[in-house]
Order: sequence, then structure tokens, then C-alpha cells
Amino acid sequence: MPQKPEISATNPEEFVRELKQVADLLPNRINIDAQSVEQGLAKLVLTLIEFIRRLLEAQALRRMEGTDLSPQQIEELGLALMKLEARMKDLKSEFGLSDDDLNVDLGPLGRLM
Amino acid sequence: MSLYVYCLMENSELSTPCVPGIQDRIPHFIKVEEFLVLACDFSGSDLQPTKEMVLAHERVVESFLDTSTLLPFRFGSVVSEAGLREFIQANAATLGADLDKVRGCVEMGLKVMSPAGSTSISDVEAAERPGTTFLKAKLGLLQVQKEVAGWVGAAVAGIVRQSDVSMISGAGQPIVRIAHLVLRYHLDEYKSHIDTLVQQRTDCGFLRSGPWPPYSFISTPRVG
Repeated sequence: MPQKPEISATNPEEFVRELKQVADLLPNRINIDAQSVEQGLAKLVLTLIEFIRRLLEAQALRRMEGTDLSPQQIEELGLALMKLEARMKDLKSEFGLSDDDLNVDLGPLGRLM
Repeated sequence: MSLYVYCLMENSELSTPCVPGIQDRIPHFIKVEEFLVLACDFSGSDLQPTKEMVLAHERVVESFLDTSTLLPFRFGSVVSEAGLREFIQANAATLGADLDKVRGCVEMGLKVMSPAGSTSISDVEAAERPGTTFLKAKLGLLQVQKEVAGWVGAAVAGIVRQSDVSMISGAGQPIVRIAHLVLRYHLDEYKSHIDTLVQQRTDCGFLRSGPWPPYSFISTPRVG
């Protein structure tokens, strides 16, 4: 017997409110001319920057949990990563790219992120 | 003329598509290598992701969900026929492996809204040390994701084939998004386990949805 998708939630209004905030961040149109040189290049460059940004962030969190960073170093690292994240958000929006677009297939090694 | 692609299936006896999709066009099959791709002609250069359009995409994919093993393409996948053939030829092995992985399965979605992370950040600290606050918030979210993934994973152990866990960014409260690949004949058992979990974890909000096509369990990059 085919089963149609169903949705059940414990507090639907709260989920709708929270997820609406996320939906508002999505582009309101999709440019399907994705083969343009400019976007292709931007996608590649931003993917590499995003990969490095995530590595740096993971490393910062790991070191923060340890004891090898002073409060001042944590603050400086946090500020740099915060600015980088904000800039990446602007660039992704400028080129109409979503988080899912920023990835590279490495063949037998799988995907970069 | 470009193609709007809905999903890729194994080459087998399938009924003729009859559900209209994007731009109100009835899709057709295109045979590429050993696969069938469900697609329709597409004119224009941009696509509005409105509710109606997204539902039209989903209706077409779901019309084959119960009768075939399929890999859905994301909404908005537009590609030339040459580009589609090139994509499939380049990824044939991965696509075949993905079809094997999702055979007999559907995707179930679970969103868990957790109480805020365990980090204690005062307004004064947030103003004085924004960098530290930023990292503490990230750490808190990571801890929430690990913790939620842990107890949800334990609750559905043995009845899901694979899981995909991530945080939804941009929401006010931490929401953990979990996709489960579930064998069709385990669906009722899965729902029952999640219902039990909902009763046990009254501190969290839950949103369960599905069955969906297995969007979260495709390894190949986006086509187009």
C-alpha cells in the first residue's frame, strides 16, 4: 500500500516560526545558467575557502576545549572566524550559491565536505 | 532547449509518466547508459522556488517512489541533454552504488529542537568578547548536535540503514536535522520508536516527516 508523506510535530507553531527564519535566508529565485564561467569559478574558489574555513573552525574549537590558548588568543581567533563567516555569507549570496553548492567530487575519495 | 530533470531510475518496466510537473509539462524518460532519467523540456533561464513549483517537482518524483528505486534530483536541476549524458557517464559507478544503497528504502526526516546549548554566555561577555562568544556558541551547537545524534541513533539502532545529521543554521534555536534511510517494511516500527522517543524527551520539540525520496543519501554532485 503506497504511503503518502505525512508530517507530525510536537509544537508545530514553534517549528514553523523557526524554520521560516531559515527559509527567509534562501534565494528567492534560482539562476539555472549555472554553466557561466563566472559562477563556475566563484563556486570553485568559494568551495576551497569554505573547506579551509571549516578546518580552521574545527581546529579552533578543538584547541578551545583544550588549554593551550589564552583568553586573548581565543578572542582573536573567534573574531577572525566570525568575520570570515560573515564575508563568506555575503559572497555566497552574491553568486547565488547555497551551502550545498560548495562541494567538490573527488571521485573515488568521495566528496570534499 | 534545456531539460528539467526529476530523478534517475534503474532501467526497468515502468508505467508511462502522466503527472504534470514544472511548467505544466508531462515528463518523459530518457535512456542514458543503463539508467532511465525522468525529465521534461524546460524553457527560460530562471526558476522561482515557489510552493507550487516545489510541489510540482515533488509530485512527479513521488509518482514513481512506490514502484521503483530512484535517485531524486534536487529542485531546480536544469541541464542540457549533452550535459546530462556527460554527468551520467562520468558518475555511472557512483549512481549504480547509490541505487543499490537506497533500494527498498525511503527517507524519513526528523528535526529536533533542543533546549539551548550548555554554554553560559552573559550579555556583558557577549559585548566585551564577541570573538569568544562566537566560538562558544559554535561549541555549544556542536555539543547539541553530538548529544541529540547520540540518543536518537540509539533509539532507532537496527531499523535505519543510514543516517545523515546536520545543524540547521539560521534558526533562532538549535535545530538538529536528521535524515534516516529506512527500509519500507520497517516504517511502522520506525515511527513507533520515534513516538516513544517523543514521549521520553519532553524537553525537546520534534518534527517527523516522510516517507520522502532519498534526497539526503546521494553521493554524486549536483547535475547542471
